[in-house]
Amino acid sequence: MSNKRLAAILGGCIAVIVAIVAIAALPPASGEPDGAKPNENSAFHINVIPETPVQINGDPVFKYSIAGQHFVFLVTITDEGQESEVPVHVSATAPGAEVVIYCKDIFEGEVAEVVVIPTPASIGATIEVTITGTRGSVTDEKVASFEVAEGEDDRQEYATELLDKFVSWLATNHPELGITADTTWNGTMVSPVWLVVSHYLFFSEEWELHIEWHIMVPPYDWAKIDLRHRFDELAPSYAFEISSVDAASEPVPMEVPETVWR
Amino acid sequence: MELTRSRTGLLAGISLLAVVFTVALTFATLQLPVVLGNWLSKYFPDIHPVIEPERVAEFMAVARPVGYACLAVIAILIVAGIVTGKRKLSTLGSLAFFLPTFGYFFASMFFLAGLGILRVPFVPFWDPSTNLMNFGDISYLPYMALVYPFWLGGIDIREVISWLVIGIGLFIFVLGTITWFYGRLQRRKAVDFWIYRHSRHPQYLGFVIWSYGVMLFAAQQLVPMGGSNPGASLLWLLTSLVIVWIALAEENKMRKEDREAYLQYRAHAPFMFRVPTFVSAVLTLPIKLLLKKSRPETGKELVATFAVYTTLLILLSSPFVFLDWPPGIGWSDWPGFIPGLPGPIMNL
Repeated sequence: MSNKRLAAILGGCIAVIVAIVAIAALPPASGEPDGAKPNENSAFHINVIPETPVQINGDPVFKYSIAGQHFVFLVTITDEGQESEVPVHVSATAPGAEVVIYCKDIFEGEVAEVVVIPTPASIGATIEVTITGTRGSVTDEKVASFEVAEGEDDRQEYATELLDKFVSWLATNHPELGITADTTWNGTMVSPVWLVVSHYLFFSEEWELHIEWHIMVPPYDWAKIDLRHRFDELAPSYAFEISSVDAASEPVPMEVPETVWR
Repeated sequence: MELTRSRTGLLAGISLLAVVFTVALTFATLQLPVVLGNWLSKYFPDIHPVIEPERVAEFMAVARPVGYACLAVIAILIVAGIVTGKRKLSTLGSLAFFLPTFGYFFASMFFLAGLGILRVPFVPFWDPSTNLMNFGDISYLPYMALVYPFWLGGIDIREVISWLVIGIGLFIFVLGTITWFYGRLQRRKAVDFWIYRHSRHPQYLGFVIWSYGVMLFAAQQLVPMGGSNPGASLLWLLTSLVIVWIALAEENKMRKEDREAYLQYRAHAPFMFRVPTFVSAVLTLPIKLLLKKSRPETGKELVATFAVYTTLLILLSSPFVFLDWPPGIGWSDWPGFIPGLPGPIMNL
């Protein structure tokens, strides 16, 4: 084989491979002119879940927490014009509480989490949380408030026991969720003033798992979970139920709640 | 009679030894990555890409040049081995090229955490906008042909297939190695007995089959945080092509050293394994069209053959890339689950 022929074959092969990769790398046609600068000041508004207080018969009704509880607000944005290529930066202040924000820079469709942790000094007080979104010179702001009740987390042990039951079942029956026995969960009590049905939230790096159980004699001692995919979902996407914990019933799928529990 | 009996005993003993080694190595193939991954996670901890994007960016600023450098070293090893005729260099390079596949065995948010750090040479290919890693997806064709009919019947054989393929590959490799050592001990000029009667390159064949099983296993790993698993088909494809190249180059050397003996051996033993004449004719058609003969015999012809087959296989894989197939999260859940049920497919 002559050098010329070899060079031609190699050149042809390289050209074909480069062409295929280039076609694959071409961005989909979006109608946006080439070289357009992303709009740093395009308008948006922020949305915060849960809304607290809510007005019932003209009176504000607050949600409750206890000192040390993680009160998790979900924050999204809606672009008012064309979708921007610049993310909105989320910040928050809450006097009397510690604030931690996960996923601070979000685009439309993404979810930031603003975690507000009341200090013991704020028991009996109302925590006012101001959540601000900033993009360039444009800002939007939402205010939410909740009350801090006296109390302590006395549900963690049983909540963890129930969590383990669901996790081992999910690991076997729903491997597509990526939840295994090794998944690390951080828990926080929620709804401290609710008594007959207890609630607890667990967070892994990927999932928010809300667990609730009925404090009742068998066969009415049900336990339920719902799962929200963090950072891209505002509401749960899976839900499962154990009809009777005492009877060691297997979890079964149930209707997925429309909103997250707070 | 005595000789036959002792020969049968020897063969049985060697086969048993091969089985023991195969079981041990299969276990090691799947367990060593777990042990190593746990140890490496102390030095390369997981980073949540959404919670800590700054840390990911910081890490990638260091990892990116390291990845390019590793890839360059691997490419140099392969090319240097081919150019200088020191095939051990090429073999080492192709092994190093495949090694990052084990990084898939470690579930993490950040793809370079823990054992995932082995994937650092993949960084140049790890571009989600181009799916470069999927340009070897034609390799899944035998897997698809095996898995799909069972899946339709409600049976999930994906994991079992991977284990089996890994085991078969290792068995052939071990048998080839033992036979080769036995031949050396017997001071034979050419090893052409036992498994070498059924394959001229049982060790390479064993490696290619074993690595196919590892590649399948890697493709099935689920990725947390809604990430995708691009698989390692391109790496397996290129590694296997390099291995075939090395095998062909070895044969050319053998042919030059003892043409008569080599041709006699070649007439009785297939290159890798026996395939029907029609399949063989299809597989060798590009060489025949390119070289007007059935096999490359010079260094230049080998280079041309490698380039043409690589291009053809990438072309055949391109529909997977352009159609973004399989849909959803890719090969890790193909043919898929039915939401809300324990699984459409029974776990064996």
